[in-house]
Amino acid sequence: MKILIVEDEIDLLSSLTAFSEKEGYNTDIANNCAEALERISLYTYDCILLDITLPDGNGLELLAHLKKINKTDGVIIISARNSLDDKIKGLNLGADDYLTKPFHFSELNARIQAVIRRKKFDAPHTLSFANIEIDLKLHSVKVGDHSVKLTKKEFDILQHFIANKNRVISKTSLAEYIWGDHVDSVDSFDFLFVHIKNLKKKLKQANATVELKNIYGVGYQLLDQ
Amino acid sequence: MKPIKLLTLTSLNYLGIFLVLTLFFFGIFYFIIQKEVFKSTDEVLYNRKMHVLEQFSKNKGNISPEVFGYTDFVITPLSQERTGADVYSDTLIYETVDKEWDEFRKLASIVEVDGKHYRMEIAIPRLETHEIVESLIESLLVVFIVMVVSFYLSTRYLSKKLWKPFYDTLRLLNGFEVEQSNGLELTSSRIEEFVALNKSIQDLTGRTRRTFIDQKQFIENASHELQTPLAITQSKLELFIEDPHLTEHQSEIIQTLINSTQRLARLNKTLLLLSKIENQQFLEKEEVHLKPLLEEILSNFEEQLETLKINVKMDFAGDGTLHANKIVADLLLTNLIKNAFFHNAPNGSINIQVEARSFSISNTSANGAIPKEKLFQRFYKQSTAKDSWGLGLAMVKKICDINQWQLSYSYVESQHVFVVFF
Repeated sequence: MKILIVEDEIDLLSSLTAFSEKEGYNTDIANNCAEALERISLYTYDCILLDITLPDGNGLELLAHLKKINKTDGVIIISARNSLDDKIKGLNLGADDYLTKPFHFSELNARIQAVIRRKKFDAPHTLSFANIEIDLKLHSVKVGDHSVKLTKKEFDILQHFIANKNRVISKTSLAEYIWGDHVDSVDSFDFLFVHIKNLKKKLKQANATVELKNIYGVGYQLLDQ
Repeated sequence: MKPIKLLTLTSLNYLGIFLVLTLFFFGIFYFIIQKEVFKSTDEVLYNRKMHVLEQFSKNKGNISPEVFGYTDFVITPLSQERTGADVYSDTLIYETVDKEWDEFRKLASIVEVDGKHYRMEIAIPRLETHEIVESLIESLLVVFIVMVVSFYLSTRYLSKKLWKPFYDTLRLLNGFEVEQSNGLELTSSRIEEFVALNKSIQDLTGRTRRTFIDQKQFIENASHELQTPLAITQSKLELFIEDPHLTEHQSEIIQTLINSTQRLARLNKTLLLLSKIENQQFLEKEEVHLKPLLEEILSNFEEQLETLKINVKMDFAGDGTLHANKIVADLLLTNLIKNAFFHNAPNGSINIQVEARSFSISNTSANGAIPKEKLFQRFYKQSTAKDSWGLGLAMVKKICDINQWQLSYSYVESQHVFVVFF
């Protein structure tokens, strides 16, 4: 998997690079529009993380350029502007997703995977980990040969864990993933705890060979037993 | 006081001025005409006196009226010798034919014929006062009416024409919205005052627009500047937390930092949202049906609903449809419902009632009424609200203000009741 990160903020760029390399992506970086243009003309990427406010131009121009040279690289716009105009403009110009700064790596990771999956011609609509297989289209879960009934939120949580397997997902990012902007209540961690407890119980009952580890005070981690 | 139209006020003022002027001219004309009448009557009297005197002298004191062929004079011999000037005076003489007193002008003089003295009085009818007054009133009334009517018609016509640029400007100014992409285009005029007015308005609206655009840009830039360091902090912390060498204690500290960063990011986002609503940057409006929107929002609170065992009741008496921006309508209802959950008591209830032109959301409360003056203040929160900024209701109020909906709060039977009339 080849990824290009276009970001002018050096500190953020280094974080993103570290994250990307850790995920095992072949990572290229660009600091500005000119560099990014050169890279996208030379290579084909599975996913481009694109900051739209760059020192020498607007990232949206890059999108237009990609379209002009008939490239279908997946693009996720990463913007500090939570502006609807930019979002609509970006998506109209062919971006696949739009993420507002600041974001959680687990969220970014899930989105990158979704974009890559969508771009693949014969993309499977299932995700699997250990003996768990989830069907993204039918919203169904199988452990081994047995199907497991999960609530919508439990399904979302499991999907997020599988997308971020072996990573520590903080409670904060998980809560934000599930409730979005409704998250700003202390209760959400308690609710999260309940959902995860139920999910754990269901997975255990179905003899899933995974461990949903509670990292005390921090969050959770999905591991292969 | 209800404002009055400029044209009406002008007309009323002129009407007053016309009335005073007409009365003034009435007085002047009356005196002039009266003077003229007296002058000409007195001339006739004098001529008559000279004529009578001539005839009298010719006939040597014979005072028989037949000599003269007219009878409007009386000559009385005087017993003693007297002299005196001619005296003109007004007198009333009873007219037996029409049985009324008529106004006469009388000349009284002492004459000497053949050494004898006589008193001679000649009286002739003159134009009567009421006749003068009547004809004056008649003619002045005609003048007055003609003046008023012609003034009214001409003012109407001219005002419409002259004030057209003003009304055009007013209409454009009424429709002016600062967030419109292009500025105010005012029609040009030949009239100096209107040109000056239009220039001032254009300057003012131009400045307002520039300020608005600057502010908008400032907000966006501030957001950008704040979000980026927040993103850096958060990303570094998230990388850090995955370090396998961290102790449990260190991980906890980092998690606290992540939480705080998250809170900062959300606060920043909320404040930006509030400014955006304030600056009316959510322009596209559509018909928003309340029922599906409410159901969607409520589905986000299912955990609260289950944990607190809250009984939610929705009642649709009318098909409530808001003409609003979808995002803004969602924010309004989300904030109200969020409040209804967070300030609720276990086993409490939430009642949502939708009518044709209003909706109300009421909930049982864990603590008493909210002081009204603090209700919509930013950053005001009841002591029990642990993790909120007190921006929700401020946002609700702002949204209602901007859409000109009426928002009311009351505390009835230990329930918070919010009603929005739209």
